[in-house]
Amino acid sequence: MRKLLLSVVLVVFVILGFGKTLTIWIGGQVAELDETWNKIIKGFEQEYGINVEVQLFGFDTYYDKLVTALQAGKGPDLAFADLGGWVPTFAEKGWLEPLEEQIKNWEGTPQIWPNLWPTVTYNNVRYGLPWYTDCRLLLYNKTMFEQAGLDPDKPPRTWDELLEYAQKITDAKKRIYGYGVSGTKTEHTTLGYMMFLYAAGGKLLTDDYSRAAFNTPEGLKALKFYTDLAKKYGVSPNPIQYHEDDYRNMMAQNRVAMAIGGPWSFPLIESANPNIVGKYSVALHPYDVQPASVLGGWALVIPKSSPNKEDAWKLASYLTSFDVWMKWIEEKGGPMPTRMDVCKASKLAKDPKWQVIFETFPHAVARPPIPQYPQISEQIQIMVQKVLLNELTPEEAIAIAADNVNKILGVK
Amino acid sequence: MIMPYVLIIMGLVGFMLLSSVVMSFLDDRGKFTFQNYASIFKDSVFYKSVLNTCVWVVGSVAGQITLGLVVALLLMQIRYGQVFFRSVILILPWATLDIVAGVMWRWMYNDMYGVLNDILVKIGLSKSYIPWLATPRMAMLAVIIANIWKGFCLSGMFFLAGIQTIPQELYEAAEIDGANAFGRFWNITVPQLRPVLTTTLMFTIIWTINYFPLIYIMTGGGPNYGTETVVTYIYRLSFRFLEYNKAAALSNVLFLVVFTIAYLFTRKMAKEVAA
Amino acid sequence: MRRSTKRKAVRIISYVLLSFIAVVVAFPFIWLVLTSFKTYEEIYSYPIIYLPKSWTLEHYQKISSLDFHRYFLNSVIVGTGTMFLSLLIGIFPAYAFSRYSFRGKAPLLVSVLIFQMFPMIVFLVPMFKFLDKVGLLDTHFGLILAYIPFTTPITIVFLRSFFLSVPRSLEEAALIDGCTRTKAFFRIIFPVTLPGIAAVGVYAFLFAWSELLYSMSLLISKRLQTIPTFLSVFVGQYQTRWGPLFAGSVFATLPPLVVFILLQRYFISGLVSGAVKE
Repeated sequence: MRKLLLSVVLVVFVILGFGKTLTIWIGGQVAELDETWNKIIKGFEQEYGINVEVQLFGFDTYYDKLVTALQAGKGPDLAFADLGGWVPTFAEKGWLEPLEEQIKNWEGTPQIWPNLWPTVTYNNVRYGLPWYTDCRLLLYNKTMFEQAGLDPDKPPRTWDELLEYAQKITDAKKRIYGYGVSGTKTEHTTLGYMMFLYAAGGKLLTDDYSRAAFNTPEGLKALKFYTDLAKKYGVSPNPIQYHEDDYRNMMAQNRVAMAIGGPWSFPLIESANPNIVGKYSVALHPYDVQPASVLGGWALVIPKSSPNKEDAWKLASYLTSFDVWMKWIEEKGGPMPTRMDVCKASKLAKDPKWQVIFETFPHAVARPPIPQYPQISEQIQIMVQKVLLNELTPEEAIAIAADNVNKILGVK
Repeated sequence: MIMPYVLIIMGLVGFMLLSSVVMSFLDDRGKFTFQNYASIFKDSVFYKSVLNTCVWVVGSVAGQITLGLVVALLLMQIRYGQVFFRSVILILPWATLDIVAGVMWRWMYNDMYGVLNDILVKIGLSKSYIPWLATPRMAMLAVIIANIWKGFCLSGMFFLAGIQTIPQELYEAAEIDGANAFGRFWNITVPQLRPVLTTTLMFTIIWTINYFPLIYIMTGGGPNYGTETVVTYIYRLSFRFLEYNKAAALSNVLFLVVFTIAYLFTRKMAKEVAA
Repeated sequence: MRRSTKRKAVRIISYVLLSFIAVVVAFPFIWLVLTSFKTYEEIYSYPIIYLPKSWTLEHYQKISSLDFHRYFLNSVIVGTGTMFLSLLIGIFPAYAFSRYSFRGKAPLLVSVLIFQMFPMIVFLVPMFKFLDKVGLLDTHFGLILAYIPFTTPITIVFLRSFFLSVPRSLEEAALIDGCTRTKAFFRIIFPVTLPGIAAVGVYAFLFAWSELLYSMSLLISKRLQTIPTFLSVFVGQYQTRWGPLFAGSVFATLPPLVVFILLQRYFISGLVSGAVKE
């Protein structure tokens, strides 16, 4: 009799257990974060009694896996999606569960930085819950400033100052450079150009995302200055081969003084060169007409194919709750939360580098949250590369790029 | 003997081929259209990628076959150290995972802190740091070199196996008849190796046409489409732009080309029956 | 006298050339191994440090803390499974192609190759859906099945060419002695073409061992995943974690090396000569 009871109980447990294992896929995260993730997830499991299986993935490969699974109608219960255009792309294909209702009724919603919502919105419906974010700034090496006779606490604020400082620092014979220009065939190049475009008062697309808007005098000025830094003034290592991450490594080696970076850069540059702690900082990126930055980050999305959508939302809101974020900051000191209350209350608020980030963030623009963004980004990358390779003049390149972008957007 | 295998394969192939063809004639709303194929032939990137694919294939295949043959022949000349040389030369590059080989070569080609340039300068083969991945031409060369490194083992191994299968007496008889090394090579090794040579050539060509991880990781198809092959383009269409229909159309076009190449080879091969 | 000195010269030159090639070919791998023992500070330092000063084991510890051994085991299962299944399926068609003439041989040969003519990415989603339907998604066997269409063409076509170089006279002799075709095959052809069979086996093993896209997408549970998926975690969004990536790669290269060393003793010649002479 006891045996029967035991087996019944076991079966019941197994059935309950089976039905309630949530899977969450986390992409792009550096592998060192796995311990913290496991801790946080355990907290959720204990509080809600739901089993969770966590899987970490690299970046490019994560996208392949997620896209394949979603396309075949199968996916995890909860997944991370890049704010640089993935959410609208997936939503358009009908792969995501709309979260408008849940978001409207959630306590944390007013705390999310307002400029983030457009990145997870498609057709006026929100499909994702932004989890972490960041924006792009000027990362610079104080030691190299000092060596060139520049004040390490006064980073350049305008384009003219940027050029001046970079030229002072650059010594091509010794292979030491002032500013790293990203020119690879990756998203970094688009982001680099956008930093200069918006700083010149230009725009990538019109406000309703229906036409290209960068083929203007401002856009041209930005393109010229961006590429001239490398071509004409020689203050950058060969840009075609390198992007921000490479420059950050060179900065750790004290060979490149300035480059675009953000909060993610801090732990990485410190692990590449522990001696650089305190000898580098960030500042608002030098601008021409107005301060500019581009935001990025990741959001949590729930695939339509998930059978556990309610529990997935519970996990999503748990991960984005005030307490969990505060714990995360305590352990890891980053990345930047999407909640304003956490930003203000945590120890980050006391760090001068983070103060710069928080001040800049409201100015940050998002990349156009439309499904065709990847194709548009490619056009920008090609445009920059063509100019860097001297295959086209900036005028020609920008005209062709704008034309192609309009074609992509279906403009007649 | 072949029938069961063939039937299963034909079934699977038929199914997948059909779905690919069907997809290529639909647009994203599911309506029938020729637009996918039309847009390919109007696409300048497509033509660029075809040209690049030819360069990529010719360069890689020539390098791999030559190096493989040279290594196989050299290995036949020595007596001791077979295991050591074979293990180092014929397996290490091949056993390196694509993703690792890709990021590693990219790191080595780096002209600011890459090992390759450092060594070239240190031993005096080069005066300045070569920007391997900085221009379309150099990038293609760099990628081909990496691919030869990665892929020559296949040819090497098959040539070695093939040479091993040649009866030793043929060589001994020829030597007695006064043939020199080159004569022996040309009149015995090459003809005897012909089936293996043909097969290896065909496979290396087909495989190289369809291989993309190394290129994609090292250059992403750039700079400025300089290393974009048809396959990297298909990959980008499918997995980055999510334009599945156009990708299906492009892979069908590719298939026709590869099919033709394969057919030409196999027609020759089908005539071959053991003597 | 002259011939043996010429022989010697050829041998010495061959050793020299092979050593040079070995160094060039192995260099990236040596770099990989050395880097796996460096701290991040040493990895990113400039001027470049060649030999690690600290010989740290931190990266190896890192991957073992992430259950590397499980992924390793899975890769071994998938690799050997693919190897054996490919050989099993491929040997007989290869034999038939090499011995018989029949109508439709060329088209048949081409149809065997059809899967190779498409980039693997094209079949990923259909394969995913297919395995899902037959309930083999997220299983090792399903993954092996997914690899078979890509490994058997090479198996068949290459084995065919090896079988071709074995003269018919060998089997005829055996058949006259009263052997069945099958027996003749195993007694005569198989041993002679062992180098070829071994080569093809290594190819199939390595294909499955290093394949990333399919194994990552068709295996969903973490406990089933293979080494390539595991290592891809280290190629992150902002940084490639060279340390653990290379440490894992060192281990990932060992089994193919071992398989190769074990199988390559079959690469011996001279098994043909005896039989015909009699």
